[in-house]
Amino acid sequence: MRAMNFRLKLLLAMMLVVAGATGTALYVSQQRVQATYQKLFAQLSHAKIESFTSLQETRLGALKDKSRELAQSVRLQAALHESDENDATNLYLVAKDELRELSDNTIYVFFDSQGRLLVPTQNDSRFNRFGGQGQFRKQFSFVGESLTNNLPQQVGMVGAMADGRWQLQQIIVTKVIDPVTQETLGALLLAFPVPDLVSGRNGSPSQTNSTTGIKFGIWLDGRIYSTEPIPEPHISDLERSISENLKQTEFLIWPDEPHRVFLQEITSGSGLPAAYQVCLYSLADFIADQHKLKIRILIFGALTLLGAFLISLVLTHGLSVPLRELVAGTNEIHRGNFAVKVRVRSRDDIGKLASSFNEMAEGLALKEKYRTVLNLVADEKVAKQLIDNQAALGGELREVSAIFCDVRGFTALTQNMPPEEVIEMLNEHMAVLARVVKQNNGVVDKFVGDALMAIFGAPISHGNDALDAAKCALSLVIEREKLNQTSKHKLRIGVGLATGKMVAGCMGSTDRLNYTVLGERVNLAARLCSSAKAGQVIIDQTTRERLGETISVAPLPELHLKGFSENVVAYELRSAENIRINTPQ
Amino acid sequence: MRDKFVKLLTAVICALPLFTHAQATIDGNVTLLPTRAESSGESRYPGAPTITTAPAQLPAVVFLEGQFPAAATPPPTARMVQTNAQFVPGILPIRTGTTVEFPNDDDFYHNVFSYSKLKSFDLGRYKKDEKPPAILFDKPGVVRLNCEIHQQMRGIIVVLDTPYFTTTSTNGTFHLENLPAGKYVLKAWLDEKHVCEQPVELHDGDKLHIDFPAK
Repeated sequence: MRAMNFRLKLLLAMMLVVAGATGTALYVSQQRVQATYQKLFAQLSHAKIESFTSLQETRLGALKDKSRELAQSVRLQAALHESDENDATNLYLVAKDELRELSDNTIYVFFDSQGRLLVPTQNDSRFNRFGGQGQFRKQFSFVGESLTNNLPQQVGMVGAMADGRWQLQQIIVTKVIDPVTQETLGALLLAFPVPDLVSGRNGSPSQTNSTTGIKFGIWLDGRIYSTEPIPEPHISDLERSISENLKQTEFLIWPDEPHRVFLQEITSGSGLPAAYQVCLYSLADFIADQHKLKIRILIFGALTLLGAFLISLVLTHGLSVPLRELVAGTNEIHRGNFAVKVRVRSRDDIGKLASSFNEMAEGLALKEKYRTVLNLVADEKVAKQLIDNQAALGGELREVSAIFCDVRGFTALTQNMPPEEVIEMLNEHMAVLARVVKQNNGVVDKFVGDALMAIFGAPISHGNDALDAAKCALSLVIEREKLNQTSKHKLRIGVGLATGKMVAGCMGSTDRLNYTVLGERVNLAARLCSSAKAGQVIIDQTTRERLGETISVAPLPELHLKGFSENVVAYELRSAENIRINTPQ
Repeated sequence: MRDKFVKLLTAVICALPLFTHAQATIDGNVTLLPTRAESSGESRYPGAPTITTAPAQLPAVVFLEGQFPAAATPPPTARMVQTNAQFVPGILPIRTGTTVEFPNDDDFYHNVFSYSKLKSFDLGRYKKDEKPPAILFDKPGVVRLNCEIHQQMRGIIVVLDTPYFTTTSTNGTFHLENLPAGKYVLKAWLDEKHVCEQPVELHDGDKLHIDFPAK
């Protein structure tokens, strides 16, 4: 998988941040709107309920007082005491006089001490609104039980069906108690229709839009009485939902046309059916507002995203150009071009990085220069070991093959030669010899005048160092001969090769060091070189033994060499593996 | 003068059995109903005197029920006095045909009325010095009296078809005397719901003792 580039990552990050911020703003705003509406709904609902309660209290207050006053009336108590189910005419006459200021739609009815209905006349019209006397008796059978409790007065509501229409009736049941004997003589019931509340089921089906807005009503005995009619099937759903959620103070209804319903129980007297004040709020406005807000936030988010995209493009452009230059510069460094420079475009972090890069390149260039110089003044392998700090001051005893190679008749040749030509000639000569040494895994130890000293097996061994040395010695002769064919200077060289234990290492002071080998075998190689004729390679006994059948040699008479007390056994090397030289003349 | 003689002779003839026979007496005790909690006695009307006197324990009416000849003369007028914002006596047994006066002995108004089926009337307001209204009770039964002004005022008139009745003392004891021999039912009326009765057969000179535990 291809890695995403920096610009794409930054763009994605910006977009993610903007999208996240937009989403968060959307979520928070939706929550806020919801909470605000919920609070508003709750406040409106409570205000509505409070208003209704207050209005009811005002309406009821006077009637409750009047009921209590009437219940304490001596005349009424006397009349009630004397009345029975068969004759209560006088009671109603007395009550009519006492309650003459009651409005026409308020009816009053008496019950005796056993809770039996006392009827003024058999066909009294006051029971019509409850569907007749029979229905009234049935509906108010609880009055008898309520006479046994300690409540002097009970207030509540009942639903009454009359003339095919349901209406909510507010009722006040007041016990009539003899103040002397504390005996319950009976009860007075006042009932009047709750104004402005009708059974919603009577609403016209054509009012399809009537579920919007705020509605108030009373839920009683599975039926809703509301300020405005609510058409079917909403009314049935609402009545059923309220019946199922009576223990909750609020809930939602109608997912397709959401409304919030607030409930508050109205304290009723014992035996009276529980009534609840109902506030119904349409969430249509809330949902519309929420939708508008969502659209606005999404548009704002999209614009922000676009802006962020453009800003990201500009920013990433400003970043990616210097970065690309830095990458290109790094590639140049990788290729060994330490002279590369990148443009410092700013003073910010990227600018500092570019400056640091340039400083690094300068440092690397300087080091490379040092390394090149080192390679020139020391063998490459030695230089590497020195750089790697592996060639410590001091030395180690190891088996090394040493070659000495010098020009025959050099002094006579250069006697009348200008120094520049001598240098030129030597440089040409030594360049070829040094290349041959390198090709054969050898290390040029030093150039001493026309002589070259090379070692094999130090500072590192390449396996068969003696063979490398032998092949190198032969190649030196061959390559010089080849050079003689093109060069204006015809030089003949002699080569001495000796193998044995030598001390190898950096020798000198901490300020100046030379990597070289020391030992008797080094001297031997130098002496053998001196003894060699032009085009001859002389090796010592040890080298001969090391190489065995891989070389062909010709025995030489034992040599008496300066610095050696005994005669030295030496051989003329003719060939090594496939390298062969002619026998010098 | 002749008329006076005739009247005197008639009275002597009527009283003759009383003197010619030793009449029976009945003593006894009625367990009265427990006294209920009392009201505050507040007046219904602001400014009217507040009466704090609680009504006394209502005694029971004990009477001999049987067939008795109608009274030859109307019984004497009885009185149900309103004094100290109470009816005195609280319970008044009378014989059928008795007229009862309702004098106001207080220095403030009373308004006596009754919604009893036996006799429904409203005497209105009248002062102490006014001539008291009088009502004739010509049928047996119970008449409860109230005062519209003073809620705590309760009075009961028990109209009986017998001349032999009395009210118990506040601790329930009673004494009936001059009772004719015969079979009767002795009743103790505490209220409409509490009436005790016991058949009795009286002989001349009997002295019976009958107690009525409250039902």
